[in-house]
Amino acid sequence: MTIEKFKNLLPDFILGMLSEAEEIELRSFIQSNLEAASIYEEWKSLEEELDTISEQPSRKMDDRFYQFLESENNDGVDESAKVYSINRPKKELGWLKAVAVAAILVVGFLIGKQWESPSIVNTQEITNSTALQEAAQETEAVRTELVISLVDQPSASKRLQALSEASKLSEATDQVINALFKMLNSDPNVNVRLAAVSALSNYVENPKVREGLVLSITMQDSPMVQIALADLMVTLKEQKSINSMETLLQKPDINQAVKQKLEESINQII
Amino acid sequence: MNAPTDTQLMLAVKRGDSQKLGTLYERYKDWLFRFFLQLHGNSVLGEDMVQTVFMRILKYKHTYTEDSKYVTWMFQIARNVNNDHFRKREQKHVKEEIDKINFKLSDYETADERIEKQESSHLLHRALQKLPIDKREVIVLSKLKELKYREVATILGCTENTARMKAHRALIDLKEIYLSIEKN
Repeated sequence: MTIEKFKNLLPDFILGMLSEAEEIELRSFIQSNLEAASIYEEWKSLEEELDTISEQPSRKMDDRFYQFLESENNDGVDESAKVYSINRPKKELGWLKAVAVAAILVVGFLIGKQWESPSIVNTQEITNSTALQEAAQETEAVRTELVISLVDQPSASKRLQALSEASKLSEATDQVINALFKMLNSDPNVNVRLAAVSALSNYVENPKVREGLVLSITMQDSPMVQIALADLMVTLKEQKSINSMETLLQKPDINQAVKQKLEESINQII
Repeated sequence: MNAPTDTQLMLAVKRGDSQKLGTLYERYKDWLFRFFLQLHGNSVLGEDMVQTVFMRILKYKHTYTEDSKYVTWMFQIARNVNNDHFRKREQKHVKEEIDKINFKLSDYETADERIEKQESSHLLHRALQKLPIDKREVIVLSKLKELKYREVATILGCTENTARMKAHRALIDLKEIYLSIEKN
């Protein structure tokens, strides 16, 4: 491979358009050619970000879609279609969702066992709603475990996935909160830290979270994370953050945009 | 038993079995959502647009033929949904400009724009938002797994070579913007 051919193929490589053979050839060229390695280095952070796109829509979108589909059938818009209730198709689940499903099955099994033992529980006392409630609790517990297990993954996309799962929790345990703060304060990837700010903003009623966010301001070196935290403090009108922001303002290497943002934020909070 | 192909499912939808649209939805909802999210940096808008795409698929199911690859046909609809949104937004902006002059509001911000700003804190999203929409679109499509330049070209209505050139130029521009944001 020549350097010209490499330059020509590099965008295809970043976009994932190369065949496996071409990809292997290009990778080995990067390893053997200094100029190619230096050009590729410039692309690496963007490539990593493009590869870690993992946002998922909310469950609300599913609900709206299935309501729409059901109404389409019930309205008889399509004459040839039978009127039936829509069953959601089996999703093509990743292992993550499979774990949640397994948890629900386990709960179902346990409830089933209880139903078999009339001496312990009167079957009539178990209502559908309690079964559902228990299943939801079990799913919540599995999701909590999942968040904690993904936090230390080497891949940034897995850590972003942990944050995405954390945002689906209705309540966060101390362990989850600690895991989120670990990502906010020490994750090497700026997008993970930004996503951690967003995830933690769901639990600001918890005084520990507010305190942790205030303390985190002085620990951040990325201007974007500093600005995200300042924005959050303004939204929360958090008086205690003023000291942290003033401490950050004293740093000699502070970014000008951050400096301006912090000054504005302090004025808005006062 | 093998899972039905996209074409088989869409042909069933075309014949009136709307329930099969649910399977297509499950297969492609994440792709479409990320497509719109990266175009606009706004998840609420992205979800609305995904919904609109599937509504249109059902409405225009008669136009689907087995000669077309489902995913390219679906993304053509997605592009139309996006273009319609842009047209409406353009009209809205013109109205807002007039409103601004009338009421002399210098810091007026729509709810949509506010949400967009909040959600585009992601570095990549911020860089994408600085690109013209056509460049954003070609990058997002090209980056989707399983879409090769041939499919991207069909969606964009150009030749495969042109699609590749457009993607290269857009990616180089994105890199420049991305690095400049990263430095600051």
